[in-house]
Amino acid sequence: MLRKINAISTLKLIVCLLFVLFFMFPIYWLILTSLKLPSDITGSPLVWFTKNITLDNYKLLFGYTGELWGEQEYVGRSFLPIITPYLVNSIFIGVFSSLIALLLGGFLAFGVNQFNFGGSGLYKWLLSLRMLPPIVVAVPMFLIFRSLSMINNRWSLIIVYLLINVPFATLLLIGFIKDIPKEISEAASIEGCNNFGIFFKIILPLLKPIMVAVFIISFIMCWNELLIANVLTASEAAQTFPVFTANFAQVERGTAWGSAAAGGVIGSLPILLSCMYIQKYLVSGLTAGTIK
Amino acid sequence: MSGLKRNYSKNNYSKNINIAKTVFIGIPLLSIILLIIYPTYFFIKIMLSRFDLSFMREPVFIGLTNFINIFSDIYFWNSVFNTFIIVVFAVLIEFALGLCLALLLGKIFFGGRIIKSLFIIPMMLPPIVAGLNFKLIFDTFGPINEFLKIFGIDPINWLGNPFWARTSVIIADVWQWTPFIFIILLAGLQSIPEELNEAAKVDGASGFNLFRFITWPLLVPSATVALAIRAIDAVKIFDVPFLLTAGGPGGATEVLSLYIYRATFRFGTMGYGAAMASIMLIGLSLLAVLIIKIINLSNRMGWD
Repeated sequence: MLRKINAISTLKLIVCLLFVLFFMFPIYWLILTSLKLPSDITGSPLVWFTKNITLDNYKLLFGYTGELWGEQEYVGRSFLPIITPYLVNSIFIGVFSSLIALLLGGFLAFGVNQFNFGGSGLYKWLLSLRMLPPIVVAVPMFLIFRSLSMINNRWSLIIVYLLINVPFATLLLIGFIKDIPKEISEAASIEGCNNFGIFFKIILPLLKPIMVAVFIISFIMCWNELLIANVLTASEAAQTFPVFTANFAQVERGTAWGSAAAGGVIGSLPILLSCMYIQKYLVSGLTAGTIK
Repeated sequence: MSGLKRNYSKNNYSKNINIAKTVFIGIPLLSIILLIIYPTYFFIKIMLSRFDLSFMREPVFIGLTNFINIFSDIYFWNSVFNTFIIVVFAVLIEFALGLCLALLLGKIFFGGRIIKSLFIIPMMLPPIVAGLNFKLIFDTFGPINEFLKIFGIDPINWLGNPFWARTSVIIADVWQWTPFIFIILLAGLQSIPEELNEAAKVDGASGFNLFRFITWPLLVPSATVALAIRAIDAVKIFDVPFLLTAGGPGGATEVLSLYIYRATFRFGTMGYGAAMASIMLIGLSLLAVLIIKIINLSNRMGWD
């Protein structure tokens, strides 16, 4: 009996380790590539571990002009874009779109609860907006912003992302506002508090952690989105991080693979950290509106 | 006292309510509707027109010609086929692996929490970074081929061979989204009361029977939700094939979103692209309706 249990738990452990290997190896490889010397990236035999760790791939990405890998000049350096403006665009678009979405979504979720508005019809409509494929959004939006000459403008991306983020924020917040006992807002209104007071002085403070979670998840959606960003932008004036990575990695650039990997690491870090921060709300965030 | 009086005099009260309704419901709802109505009008107008960006300034109405053309467009049906294959295989494998993982890690054991946090990292990465990861790994001189060499397997041309390119896209998708199914199933699993398992064990159930008659029926609602969201999202797949294979080789990984993207924004045939996008939208809606039906059915079959 004991032997059997031991055999089973050993098997479990082995399967677990295989899964860890499968999920972790690509990440290890990305980080390793970003720290390798160019000669180690392309050289044969393959370098699985390296002691020659270098941060020069990152330096190159941020436009460092001094010596890299011990060489002053190397082919193609002048073609390589600098990542900073793309990161700034991503942050700008993500922050504004998520903040506006949070405000509008919070208003709508509160209004729906307070005035018993809409019902399941509104709910289903919002849910259906959430599954809109980006390509369907991209086609008409491109024509509209083109006729307004707002292509390559950060604000056009912010507006388009509202279409995805407002329904999401509303759906998630409706569920949480419903869980707040009605007695609290009733008590406040008897004390002479109007609906604005109830929203800003009672609901908002109570929902603070969820608001943060909604903000972060919306921000991540904006940060990760490639298709619409690629269509509505043309240069570093508005292009976001995924567009940068796609352009960087699509063309074979020889020694720049290390920098492409470094870009991937830099672009993943803020997402990873904020996800860890809101892990508690991740399941309800991912399934917003489908599990009650 | 005057404050109370002001709030409760009837006129002011209903005026307040109206202002509140305008702000809390009117403004957000109106902004969403505005964001939808104008683009929808454009969308319908364009998909019934011929509009080549390369040489036309204004769309020309041509009725349903775009839709008729779609039926004889082999590239379109090729992309539908590719999407179908990738979605079916990716989602099924993700579900199988996610279920395995959830059952393995369902009971908290030493180090389980850390392993769980490690497992959900891929899901948190931007999809474009997942594409970049696998571009590095599936390189002809990359680590996978080097690893296979140990077993005497010849290097595989992962991204240059139609079959292997499709497999690479599926593997990348499985890598990124298995964690999604895993954490939803894990949440479902951990909400099953421990007493039920104990009671079943007392009654003599063990191993497979415990799973078949206790765990699985209780897991069905979370499983359908996880599958539903994943299936709908998988149909929209774009980032990974865009970066990894760019639709190649020979259109083997050209998924629906990628083909419509190319037709619309690379070749500039806006009208035709819009028509294809509308067909994709209809297909997705049908899929969603089907899934909602299945969820309702499974909820009825589930444990009450």
